[in-house]
Amino acid sequence: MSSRLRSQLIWSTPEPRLAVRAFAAPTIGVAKEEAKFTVQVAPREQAIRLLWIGAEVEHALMVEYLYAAYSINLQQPEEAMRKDVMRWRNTILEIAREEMGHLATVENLLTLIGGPLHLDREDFPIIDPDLWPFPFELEPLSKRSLAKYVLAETPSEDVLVSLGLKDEIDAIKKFLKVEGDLTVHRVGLIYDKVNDLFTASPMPEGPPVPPYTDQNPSVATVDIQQSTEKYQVTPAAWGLGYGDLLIETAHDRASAQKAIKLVSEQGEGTSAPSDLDSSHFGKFLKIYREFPDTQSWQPSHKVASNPTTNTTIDDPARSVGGDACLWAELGNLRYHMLLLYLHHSFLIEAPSNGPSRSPRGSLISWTFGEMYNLRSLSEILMGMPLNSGSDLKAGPPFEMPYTLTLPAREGDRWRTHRDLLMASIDLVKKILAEQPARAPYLQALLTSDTTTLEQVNALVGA
Amino acid sequence: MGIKGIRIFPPLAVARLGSSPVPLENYKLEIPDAVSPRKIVPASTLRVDEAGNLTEILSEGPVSFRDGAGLIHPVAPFFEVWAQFDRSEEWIHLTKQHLADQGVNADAVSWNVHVGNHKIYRRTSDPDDQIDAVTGEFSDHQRHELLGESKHFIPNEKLPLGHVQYVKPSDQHPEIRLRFTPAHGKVYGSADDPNDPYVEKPLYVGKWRGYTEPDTPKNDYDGRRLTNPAQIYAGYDTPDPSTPGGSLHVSYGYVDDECDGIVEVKLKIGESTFTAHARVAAGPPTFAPDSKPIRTVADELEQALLGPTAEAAAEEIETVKDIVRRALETVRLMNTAQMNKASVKTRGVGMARMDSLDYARKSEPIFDPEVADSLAIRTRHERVLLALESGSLAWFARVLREYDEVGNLTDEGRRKMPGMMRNADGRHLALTRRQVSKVKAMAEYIAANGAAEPAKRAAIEPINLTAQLTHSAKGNPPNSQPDSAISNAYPGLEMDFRNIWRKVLEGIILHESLNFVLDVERAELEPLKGMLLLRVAGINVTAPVTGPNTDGIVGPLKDTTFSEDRMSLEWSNALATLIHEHTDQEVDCDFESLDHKQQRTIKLKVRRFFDEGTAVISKNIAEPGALTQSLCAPWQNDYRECACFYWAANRPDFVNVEVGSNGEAAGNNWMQRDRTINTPKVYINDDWVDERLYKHTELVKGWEKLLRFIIANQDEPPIRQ
Repeated sequence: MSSRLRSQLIWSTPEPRLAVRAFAAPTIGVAKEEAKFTVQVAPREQAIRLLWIGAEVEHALMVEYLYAAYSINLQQPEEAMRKDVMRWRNTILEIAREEMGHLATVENLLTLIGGPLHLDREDFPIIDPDLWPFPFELEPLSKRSLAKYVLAETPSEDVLVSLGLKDEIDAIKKFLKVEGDLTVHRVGLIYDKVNDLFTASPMPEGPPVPPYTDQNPSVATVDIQQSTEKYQVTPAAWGLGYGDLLIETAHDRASAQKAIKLVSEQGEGTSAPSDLDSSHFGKFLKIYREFPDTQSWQPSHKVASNPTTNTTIDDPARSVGGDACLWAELGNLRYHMLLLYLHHSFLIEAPSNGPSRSPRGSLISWTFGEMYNLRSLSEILMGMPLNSGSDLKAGPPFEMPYTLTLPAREGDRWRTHRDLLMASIDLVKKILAEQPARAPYLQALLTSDTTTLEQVNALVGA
Repeated sequence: MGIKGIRIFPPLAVARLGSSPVPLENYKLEIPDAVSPRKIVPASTLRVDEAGNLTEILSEGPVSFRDGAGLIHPVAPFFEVWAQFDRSEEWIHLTKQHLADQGVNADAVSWNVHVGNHKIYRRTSDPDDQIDAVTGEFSDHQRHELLGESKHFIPNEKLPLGHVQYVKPSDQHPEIRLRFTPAHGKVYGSADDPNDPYVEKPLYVGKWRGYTEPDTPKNDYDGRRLTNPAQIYAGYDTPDPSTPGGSLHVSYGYVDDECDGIVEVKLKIGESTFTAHARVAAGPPTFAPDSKPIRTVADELEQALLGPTAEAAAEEIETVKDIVRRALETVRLMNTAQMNKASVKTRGVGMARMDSLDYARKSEPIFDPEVADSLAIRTRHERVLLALESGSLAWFARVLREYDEVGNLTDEGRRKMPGMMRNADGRHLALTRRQVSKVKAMAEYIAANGAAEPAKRAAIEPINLTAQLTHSAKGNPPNSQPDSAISNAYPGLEMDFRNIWRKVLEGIILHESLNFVLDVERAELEPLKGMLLLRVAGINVTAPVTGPNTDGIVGPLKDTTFSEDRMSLEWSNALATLIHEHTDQEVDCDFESLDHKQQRTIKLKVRRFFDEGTAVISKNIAEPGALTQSLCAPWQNDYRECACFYWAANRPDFVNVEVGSNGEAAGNNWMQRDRTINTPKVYINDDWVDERLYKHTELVKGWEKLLRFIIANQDEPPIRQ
């Protein structure tokens, strides 16, 4: 997490009241911690800062999982292997999609209490030893990366014991060489704290007055704004209504707490064995068990870890060069576009089922369109050498833009989208000129972007 | 070398109405890139003069779909005779030189064409209402008019259904071929209304004028035998004296000049006679000729030929792209925001209203309205196509509706793809099982082999019947191919493909759309008449209907006509495995009475769908006139006030679409009278009363000049009246 975000946050005090998602639980006793601030922060502000951390984690995990899934080599020599890798890929993509749903749910909660949205994160590798003993990394799927994913989604020690999985998880920690008293904090504790902050205060309701934390420990009712629901994203709009995408909207304390609980449970599951197969923890554990221990066969491409277009980083195992460079740049640009479309969609009211209409539907469609594009660009990059002379394949760097702040005025927001589209069009033309072999895809991308640009230009004028 | 056999290719062609004396020139549809509209490019065109002489031309373009007088060029397909010679499996286009080698000349080839228009008969059940035209055998090269005859025509009057001509083989063009030219698209009236201004002239004298169908049919033979949908003929409504609150739809007695039938060829060499046949159906033009429907007659034929399961193969990569491209071409021409709306009372919205009317489902939009805008939906399709173009796996099989889940009217069920369109069974559209299987197979193929170059098109070999099905005869434009004809037939445009299945079980005649035995062909099967078919060889032909009722409680839903909570599945998908695995076999068929009290199981033989070793629909399974009999009468009735917004690639809905000031789609209704370049882009809803839209009676006579072609989503200029 960014240092400013995690500053003034300490980990201590009593056991959490709600067993929620464990980001990691490598040491006994950690579960008793609680996230607290070292300075006076009002409950609403506390919730916002904690949700920002949650958003960064969900965002980072989503991208990590996407990268791992795309790194899988589907062209295996044997039918059984092909079936395995296809199943693993589908499962990990499904988890990544669900992480996107978690991220959307966190943004909905921020919207509910009038907090600023947060789609930013650090670039990979993300090193935050206070939170997690391993760097967050873009890396190809391997036994080791799977072990990390299992631990990232592991439920509490109590749940592990009740599921009879404690020894197996201990063995995974050993495999990862997680030993001793590492300072690791569960993001579950952050959600736990957010849950507390949405619990009704015993104090009379009303505008919060200092000192906040002791006398008014909850987000005030007046700050839980039901009217924001029309700005929140819904599963019907995002997933076109398919049941497997968990996106929760919230309009009051109960729905906010339900959203937090569901997000947590989809990650780590519950103590009920029947929930194990549907949780991210259970799904990753299953793949981990099936994944070959030896070098007998390679389920993944030999893809670089944490590829980068940053020219100040001189690392032949990371620096994207040669033909892949422009594609990586294009990937970053489309990722930028995706995040801004997504951000912007939260700022526009959803139209009712009446004559009033808005461009929000297009923003959501474009967001999904960029997800499809990133899938294509990822697969293209993973078929190209990282740089000349490298035996590693490239991959999408998923590097963050300089800012995700949208301009204050609506017309200027569309100008920002326009500028990114025009930059992409120029870049695509450049790649077309240099690498005509990919013309069918690039030409079609140009055509599609031209239509989108026409739409965006109309909105600049509006 | 002697001849072993002959065939007519293509085995099925689509002719399209138009009154221009010059048939439509040939063209190609080119794909500039994955998401752009197809480009219409002139192609080698064959012209035939009155004496049967053929010349080949190539126009400079652009391809024009109507002539200088504003009349639409008819689509007049050629049928080629191909032969297989001794010691070869290859099929070769038969020429006069081949005939000379056999010691005969072109006269040894004779043709016989039989077409029918049985639309009135399908409603009245009176055999004297059948209209048939038979040329008789001919070997000359003159035009042979197809003059429909009926015992219920004014004496000496006949219905012109087009003409056929055996093209004279020459040194330059020695091949043996016949051209079918359809009728002009005229509509004729009844003798007892001689001054009807909307028809060409009076022609008919039977009981079709004044024929009625109730809006609330009873659950008996008469109620079940009606076409589905019923009342799809030009007429007016009047109160039903036998049903309080009910109404009767009274026919104006109109007769159109659509038809379908069989083209036969005979080649006599010495004592040997070789025969072959093909089929033709004549329907309306494709009004968006650069677009193709998402589910077509070609998809049905392929599934019937090869079964519902596709194998992972390189060619499926292009096929799956084509399916998505066709979906994109359809949504480009649909006002999806409008189609998504829910309303029980307001007409002019789509499937949400149909679900409420047909099954009393809770009235609510299908998709979240905020993502249903036409441009937003178009973007999603474009980006899927882009991803496929990049070599990505097709990941979207899970969102495709399965054929036996069409009765799932829950939110999730209704949001499956294809969305907001109607299936041949009246509910939400499902692709053919083979199309769905192809999407899965493509993913499997790429997973195993990577994205490969598209496979080369297979040569025409007898073992490759698919190639025969898709054969494009020289000079035939793309809109004469089965893949230009819609097959979500409810009831259809060019043909109602459901009719092919009526006789699939020997001895009984099924309703084209329902699991209802309409008639029997053998006396001992008489008890089955009026019963419901439940299963064939263990295959269910119905599916449960579930969804939220008007109180929002999810459970079984009963139809508002017969109060059944199971619906008939469309035959094509339901019986795909039957004809693939049980042709010529006797299978158990389970029947039930309409009151569900009596059950019978009886063995019936499964008829051949295609004649053995061919890709031509068997003569025994559908007689001339059968394929078009349940279409609207006249066909123009399906173009207005019929809630038929689900054939947008052939019958556009939303045109001249541009980006509105709020970033959403703005455009016009294709039925809107005022559509100039300066017309505000405001979609006028078809509520059946708005005077700003063409009336269906206007279309009966004036369709040819009122209906405009849409290319790249834009109107052709208005036609001078």
